[in-house]
Amino acid sequence: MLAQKSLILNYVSRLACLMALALCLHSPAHSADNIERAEAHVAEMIATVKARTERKELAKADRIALFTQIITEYFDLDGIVRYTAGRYWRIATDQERTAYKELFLTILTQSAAEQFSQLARLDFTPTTSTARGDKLVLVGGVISDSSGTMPDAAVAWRVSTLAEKPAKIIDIEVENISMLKTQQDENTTIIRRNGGKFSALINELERRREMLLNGAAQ
Amino acid sequence: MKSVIHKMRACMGFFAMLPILAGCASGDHSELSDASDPYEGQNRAVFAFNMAVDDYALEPVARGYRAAVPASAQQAVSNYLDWTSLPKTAINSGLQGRLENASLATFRFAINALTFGTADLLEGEEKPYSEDMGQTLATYDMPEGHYVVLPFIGATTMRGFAGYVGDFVLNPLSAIQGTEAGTIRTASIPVAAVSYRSVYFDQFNDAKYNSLDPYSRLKSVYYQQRSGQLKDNGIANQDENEFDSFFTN
Repeated sequence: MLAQKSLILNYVSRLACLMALALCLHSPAHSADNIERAEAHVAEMIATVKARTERKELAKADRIALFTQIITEYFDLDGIVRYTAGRYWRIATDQERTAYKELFLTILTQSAAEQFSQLARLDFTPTTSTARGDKLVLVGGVISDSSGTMPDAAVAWRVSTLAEKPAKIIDIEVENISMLKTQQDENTTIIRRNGGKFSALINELERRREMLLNGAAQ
Repeated sequence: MKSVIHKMRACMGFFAMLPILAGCASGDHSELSDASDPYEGQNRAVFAFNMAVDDYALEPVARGYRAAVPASAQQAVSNYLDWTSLPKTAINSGLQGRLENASLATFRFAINALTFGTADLLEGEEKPYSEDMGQTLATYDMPEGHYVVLPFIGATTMRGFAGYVGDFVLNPLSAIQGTEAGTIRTASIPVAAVSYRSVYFDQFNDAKYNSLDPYSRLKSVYYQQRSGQLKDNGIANQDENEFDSFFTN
């Protein structure tokens, strides 16, 4: 009887410990830490860009190098590539996955470099950040165009804050429009309309890259 | 007065038909799937037509508008268009029971009426959330219906289109009689299109020229924008769980 009682007590105390641990993980203090990490990560990225672009004109090759460094250092490129391929990632061969990642990065950096003058005019003012569970933080703010040609827009950087991993940006949301989700919808539509062939997306991206390299895109 | 009664009747008839329309067009819209766009073929054809209109009319006119019209005049036009949308916001906020938003819209409309809406006399003050009949119908649990692309109007859903018609019929500004009022109303439509296109000129061109599939990009943008607006009404249909798959794929 005594042994049974001690077994129950032991079980209850273990359960209590587990619950306490779970509570700690979801406690406001834990969320606050994640928010702090995410905000610091975004602030550091913006400071890096500002430091590299202030007081000097960058050649196109330098702009591409800058964006490549920013994306690989501050963004979760592997996760983004996987997510934007949607459910078709599973059917892609290793070769297709590698090709897709390379094309994705090239097009992204080329496009950003093309729009550099527009992007350089933008200022980010942080507002409020919110933790979404223990994996994600939305770092909120407003982007304003210093030239005044574009109205202010609400922006949120979606930052992954996985335990024991560095914070990484996974998405930029402008006025409720997620770049990640939009890219996923676009990519999966192309694959779906081509009978589920992942190679169709690769072909489209190759065509797009050629256009960018030849300066045909606007 | 007769015109107002006639409009009210038309409006009541239209809304009586809504459940039938919605029933024909309802489906599972928890995510963007093929099921939400069964008319994709027709929609793409209309989209191509709208893009041609943009190529040959809207984009060049908006480009010229940006270059030739002074920024202050562009701002005045934008203010006027915002002002004319305030009665719609006030009515729909009222119908949704959001009385504070309705009061804000009514107050802003009354004050800015002093400048015929061309100047924002309440700049820096709290602005009402923009509300339309589509959002009102969503708060009354009307199904969203399928995705449709309409000539000149663009992307919407069956519910969105029903709301568009409802807003048009219920707009108190359309009850104002007179030749000048009619001319202003008629001119407002293309002016609004040009003004909107010029304000979002670069963003729209980015979607038009730099995307792999402009149709699916604009469709995605439409749904996400709408979802954000509905979130303001407390009826979120897209949540953070959607991004959980980022960590599980």
